Amino acid sequence: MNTLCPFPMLSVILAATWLALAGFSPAHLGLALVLALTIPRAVAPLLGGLPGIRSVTGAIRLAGHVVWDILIANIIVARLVLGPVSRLRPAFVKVPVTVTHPSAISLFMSMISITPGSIPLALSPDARTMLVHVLDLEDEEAFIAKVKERYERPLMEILEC
Amino acid sequence: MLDLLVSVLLLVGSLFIVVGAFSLVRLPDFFMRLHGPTKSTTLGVGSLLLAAVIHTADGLTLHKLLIALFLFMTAPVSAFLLGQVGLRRRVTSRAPLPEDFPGSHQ
Repeated sequence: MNTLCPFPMLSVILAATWLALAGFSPAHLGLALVLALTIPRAVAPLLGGLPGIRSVTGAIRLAGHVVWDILIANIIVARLVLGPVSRLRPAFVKVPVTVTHPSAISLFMSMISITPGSIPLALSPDARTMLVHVLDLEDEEAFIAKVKERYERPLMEILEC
Repeated sequence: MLDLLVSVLLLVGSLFIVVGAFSLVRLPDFFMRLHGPTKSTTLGVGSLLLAAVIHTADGLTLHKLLIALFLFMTAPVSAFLLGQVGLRRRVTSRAPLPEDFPGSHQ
């Protein structure tokens, strides 16, 4: 089981995505199975193991938080961009990273990136600090506390890592 | 009623995409301009896709949700890569560039 299908969840997602894109037919089902079995094995060395999910409800709640933050931040940033540009306070912020699993770090950075107003641009080689560019920074401490509390802490609770 | 909702979503989506594009012109430096595209891909494209899903509620709904999913997965990666190039080339920036950040100027 483990060698044939190292990441069952990834295989299921791949097969479902293929069928959703290509449409359901016996031939595509066969192709989806082939892809679901070969791709995870091919990328396994790159992934180095995926963390398990401890709490599905927690994951849904976090996704809801992110969608809500995207809505609010979009409106705030749209107003900033349309207002006087000279009043913006762009800054680079070093955010300490507590999660250690590569997938968790990647998710943490992605969530910061898709909520407008902040973009992670670099990760230190030891993966303990990331560099985030903020379009309009009011309070550095508050920004760091917010992303860690809102995105990283739920991640630590959801993922087994 | 549904048409009204679809229209509002189309308008809101278009508005945010225009604002995202407009910000490329308005914002003064490379790193600040990176913030424009993240806006249009999230709320802008999200609203347009939601309008499409509501307008054509059929078997193709999954397609549109997948478009959103792929955009959300790839946008952070492209923003990160662009940012890396900016940091390494030390492009002009209104925010002071970090001098001591490991990995940003190799």
